[in-house]
Amino acid sequence: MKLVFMKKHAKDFEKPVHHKKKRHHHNKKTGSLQKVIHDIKHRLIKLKQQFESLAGTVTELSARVSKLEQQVATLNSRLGIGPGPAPGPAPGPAPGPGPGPAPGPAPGPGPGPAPGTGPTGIVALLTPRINTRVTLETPVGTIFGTLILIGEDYVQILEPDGSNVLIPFRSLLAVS
Amino acid sequence: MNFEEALAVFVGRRVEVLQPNQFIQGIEASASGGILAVDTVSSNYIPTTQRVNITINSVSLVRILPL
Repeated sequence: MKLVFMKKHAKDFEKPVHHKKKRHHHNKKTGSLQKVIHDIKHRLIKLKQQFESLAGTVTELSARVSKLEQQVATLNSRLGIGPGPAPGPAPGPAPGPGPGPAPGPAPGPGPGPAPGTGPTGIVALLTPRINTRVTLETPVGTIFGTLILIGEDYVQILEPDGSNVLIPFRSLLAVS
Repeated sequence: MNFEEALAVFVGRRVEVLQPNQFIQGIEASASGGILAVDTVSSNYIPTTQRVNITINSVSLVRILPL
């Protein structure tokens, strides 16, 4: 231990000479601990902000999902799949295709399936394959991709390169 | 939504229109009244835009190119 004469303190004659000003190490430790606590607090605040922004994103995505579900339900009801109004083909007493515009909700030209039955033909064939990979033969070539939509008279395929292909039913030769 | 209405959604996009004996590439201008209008650009040194009106009934398929 080093003896230090503290000349500054005029009144230190009462104090023992072996008292000297020491740097209190526990102050340094307290300082670093405070720094760590401050760090953790800062990180917590950051995490809280990220969490809040994510919560907003989740809400937005949920709204979009419910919108898409509504659109799907609308399309399905138009196709006559699942719960919803009765399918399109003429419910009247006159069967078969009618030339010219028919009164009422006529779906347009095409073979008239028996009333009361669900979707037939291409729609019935392709509906279970939505969101799956299909190969469609057309007069201009083969189209391969994911079937993403079946419209009134067309299908929409998403090709691997990101292109969307719209193919009318009349162009479909084969499906595999 | 029918084929024509679906095509109308992609106005302004680069499209490829395939017909049994023809291939047309360009930017879709409009799709209504049974007609699909595509603005094609010539491939020579003088770029000129030509609008091609295609009857939708004669279209075999339409490919909408990715952005």
